[in-house]
This record gives sequence, structure tokens and C-alpha cells, in this order.
Amino acid sequence: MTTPEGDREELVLAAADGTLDDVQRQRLAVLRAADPTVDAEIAQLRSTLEALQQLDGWDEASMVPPPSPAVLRRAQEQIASEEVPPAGQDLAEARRGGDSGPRPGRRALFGLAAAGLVATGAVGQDVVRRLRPGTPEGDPGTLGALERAQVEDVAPGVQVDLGVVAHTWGTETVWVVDGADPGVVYDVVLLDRSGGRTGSGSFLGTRDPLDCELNAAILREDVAEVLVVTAGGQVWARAPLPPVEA
Amino acid sequence: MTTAGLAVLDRAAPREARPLSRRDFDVARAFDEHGSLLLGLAVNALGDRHAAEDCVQETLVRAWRARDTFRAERGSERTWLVAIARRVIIDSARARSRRPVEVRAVPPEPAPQPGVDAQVADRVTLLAGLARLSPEHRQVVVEVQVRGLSYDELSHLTGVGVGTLRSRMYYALRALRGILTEEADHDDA
Repeated sequence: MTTPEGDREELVLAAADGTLDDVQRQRLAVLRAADPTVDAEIAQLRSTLEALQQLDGWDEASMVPPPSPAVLRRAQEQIASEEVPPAGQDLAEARRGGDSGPRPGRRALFGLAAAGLVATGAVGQDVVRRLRPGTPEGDPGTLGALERAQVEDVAPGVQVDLGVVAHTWGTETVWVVDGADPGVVYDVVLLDRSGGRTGSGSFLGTRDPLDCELNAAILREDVAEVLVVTAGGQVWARAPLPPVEA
Repeated sequence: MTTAGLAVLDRAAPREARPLSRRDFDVARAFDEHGSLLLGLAVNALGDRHAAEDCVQETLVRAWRARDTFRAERGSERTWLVAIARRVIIDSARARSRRPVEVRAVPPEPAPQPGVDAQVADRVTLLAGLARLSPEHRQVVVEVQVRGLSYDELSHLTGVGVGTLRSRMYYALRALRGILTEEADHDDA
């Protein structure tokens, strides 16, 4: 450390870790007079050192072995399950593999709702719940539970039903949509309470009612509202979500 | 995402503007090239290899979902993956600290202490910074600052001179500071 830069290294580190001797202290005073930024650097290194000294250990050996091949296989399986399915098959059907038994005709369910044969307000949730048999309901933020969501601001003749599921890895939205324009792209965006947006994929409008499940990397407790946005930039549907109780 | 959807995202986070064309993200290659680093980081943060492997899996899936957001000009794929892994691990660590109640489980656990989330995040962020240091830089930082060895003791163990070790410490701390600042920028973006 005999070069000017080496001298600076030595003095800054010694000042940060508290090992300055008298000679170094005098040299640091000279350096400080020539370069006022040295104090800021010392303060930064000192705070970094203090943070490091709070750590309870480090296992270097764990940096060497690769993860089990099963990790890659599971990731690839999960990705495959989320990729766009072949034409003519919607995502939910693709995930179920078509072997989950008979499901209610969605048109029939919407028809019941339109005819007023099912209580208003519960209709949509009944529709959504039928997509997730076995998933219990729960309060907002309850992990793994289907949360009722009220969709607002949809155009006349359009039916959008939404369920929300909180997970440790983020928030899942379960959709049944009737009346979206065929071929039009609709984006799903989750808003947090500070106005930040997290994208959660898209769906294409279809002639028949569609159902799909979308994931977002934001915790349910941070989500304030779910939006569906059209290609024209208009909010096509919105669903304000209640806050998660502590 | 459509242009309109991108605009919605851009209004809130212009620095994370998504390109319109999708970028290929080879999960198997990412696993081969970065799996050990991601696993090492997760093991150090969680102390549980099984949970750490779950985090690596989730990191790869989230990276695939977010492949449109990767910007080579903002950093390497390794940097991008570590940033995703850091968030995954923080989520996992928070969930473990809260011991979340699954449906049907009673009674509920008490809420975490205020500030615990921030402590978890800070610790994981610091560990992610350590993981991204070169092995030589990480060694001097860990042995001296975390394990408490003196420079003389480390010099004796490694055969590297004290002056060289102190120089490595200086540059390691500067690199770590830069990484932590970069992570904070990612969080703000």
C-alpha cells in the first residue's frame, strides 16, 4: 500500500474498522484535507462492517454443490403448466387434464344468474368456486383459501367473476369472464396500496365464457385492487380488495 | 402484456418498462450456470436445504414469468436472478417467521413483532451481497468480520500476506456496498 491509492485504502479501512494508529491518524488528516469525500467513504464502510458483524455465520460449503435435479424438473413442470395451452383448450382445462369429472355448463350458470334464479352477488362466486372444488373460503389473506371479490365497472352485458387466493409466493386470481371481445387482449394488473403495479399476465377474449387462473408475484396483503386493462388503455373491470387484517 | 398494459406498469415504474418482444429464458441453462449460487444463498439465509431448494425452484419459475423484464444493460442475468432469489427468500423467511396458518388450522399464531420484516429483508439482502462477491473477497470478509479471525490468523491459515488481505477487505467492502446500493435501486425501481 505505497501508492497514493494504496495509501487511501489503508487509511480508509483502518479508520472504518477502528485500527488507526497515531501515524495513520496524521496521514488521514492530510488525506482528509486534500479529499473531503474520504469521510463519507469511511462512514459507508463502517456501516457495512457493522451490518456484517451482526451476521451469525456463513456456510461457504453450501455455495458449491448444485441443487438436486428434482428442483429443475419441478420448475420445468410448473412452467409447462403455465404455458399457453393448444388452441381450443383453455388454461384451466389444460391444468385439470380434462379428467376432473363433469363440470357445470358455464353458459347455464350465467343463464341462471341472468334469470335471477340465484341470489345476486353470490352468483359470481358460485361460478368461480365451481372452478376450484375443494378450495375452502376464507378471510382475505388466508393462505390457500378462495376469497370473494366484487368486480365493478363492467360494461352492460359483460359478466366478470373473480376469486382471489393468497399464497406464500404471491397472489393468484381465478377468473370467469363472459362478454370479452373475441381476440382482444386483456391485461391483468394488481395495484398495491402505494399505487405500484404488478403485471399478472393477459388473456384473450373468447366467444364463449372463459375461465383462467393467473399468478402475480405480490403478496395478497399488499394488493389493494385488481384491474383488467384493455389494449386501448381503458380499465375494463376493477375489483377493490379489502385490506388483510393483521 | 399489451402496450396499454405496459403503459399502466410504466406509469408506476418507468424503469421497469417491459419490451414488447419476449426474450427466451432457458431454465435448464440458468439452473446449470447459477443453481449453486442461488442454492448457497438460500441455504445461508434459511438454514434449511429443503426450503432453500424450494426457493431455487420458485426463483426459476418467477424468472421465467418475468423474462420480459430482464435488461442486459442494467446488469447480468446472474445479477437479475439473485435479485429475484432475494425476494423469494425474503418471502419465505417472512412466511417462516410468521408461521402462517393454513386453512383449517387453529388457533392462529400471534402477529410478528414490528420491524421483524425489515430485519429479515436486510439480512437476506446482505447475504445476497456476500454471495455475489468473488470467493477471495468473500473469504476475507467472512473470516474476519463474521467469524472474528484476526488478519494475522487468516494470513497464517491462507499463506496470504496481511497487507494483501487488508487490501482485499477494502475492495470487498466497496464491492459489497455497490451491490447493496444496486439492490436498493432495484427495490425502488
